Amino acid sequence: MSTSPHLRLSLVLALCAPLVPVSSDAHLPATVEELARSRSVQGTFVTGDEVFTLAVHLEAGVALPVDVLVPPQSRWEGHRPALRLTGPGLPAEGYVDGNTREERPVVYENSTRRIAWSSGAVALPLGPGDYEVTVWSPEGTVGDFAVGLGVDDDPLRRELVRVGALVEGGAE
Amino acid sequence: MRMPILLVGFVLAGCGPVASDPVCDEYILAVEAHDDATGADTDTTSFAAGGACWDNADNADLCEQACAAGLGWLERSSPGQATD
Repeated sequence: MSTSPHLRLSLVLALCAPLVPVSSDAHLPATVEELARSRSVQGTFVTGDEVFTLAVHLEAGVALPVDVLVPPQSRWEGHRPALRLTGPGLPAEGYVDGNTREERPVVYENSTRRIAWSSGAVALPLGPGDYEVTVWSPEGTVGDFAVGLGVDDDPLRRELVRVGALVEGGAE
Repeated sequence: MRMPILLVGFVLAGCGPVASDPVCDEYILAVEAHDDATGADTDTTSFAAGGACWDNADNADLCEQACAAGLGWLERSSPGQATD
């Protein structure tokens, strides 16, 4: 018996999902401890011209899924933050995800018990060292977003990936 | 009575481990080729059978997509290194 991805997601949500309320501190800068229980680091575009940066340190080389997430709410249908990852081994311009896919996949995070529109995760083979994630809103839209790093509840991520707080500032 | 039990079992299956996907096996091979060419040492444990990707259906969906996109990235960034 085969099922469509949407049906499978719905069935999974029906049983695995939310028995706990969504955290009220979702808009606060994320810390390393928060990433340990969720794969995402949350932020909010208030004016639409902010540029957020996130420092990521890898203890060793690891293949790491990276994407930009937006809560799937109708008011944020046009909200498509872009992401750039720069660091050792990447091209000078870095890895850039313009979040331009026509249909954004819906993903579910077990740890935060939330669904989100994803820009489309890509697993990047990254060497050890310091990286910087930059997120901006190309169309100047406002709303919540998150940077997704790794896989939920992954012991390898907890062991190798260190993430700072999401910081507003800089220029794109 | 049998139908609800089957349904509950089917849904529970979505919360448990799932089989790894061939696209991630292909991705792992491509990363190994990339490592051989560059001298890097990239841990792909999460994507291998028994890795965190296959703990549940949600992780599996994310990883299948990430592996497919990662293959494309490797092919574009290091032509000739990634496997077909």
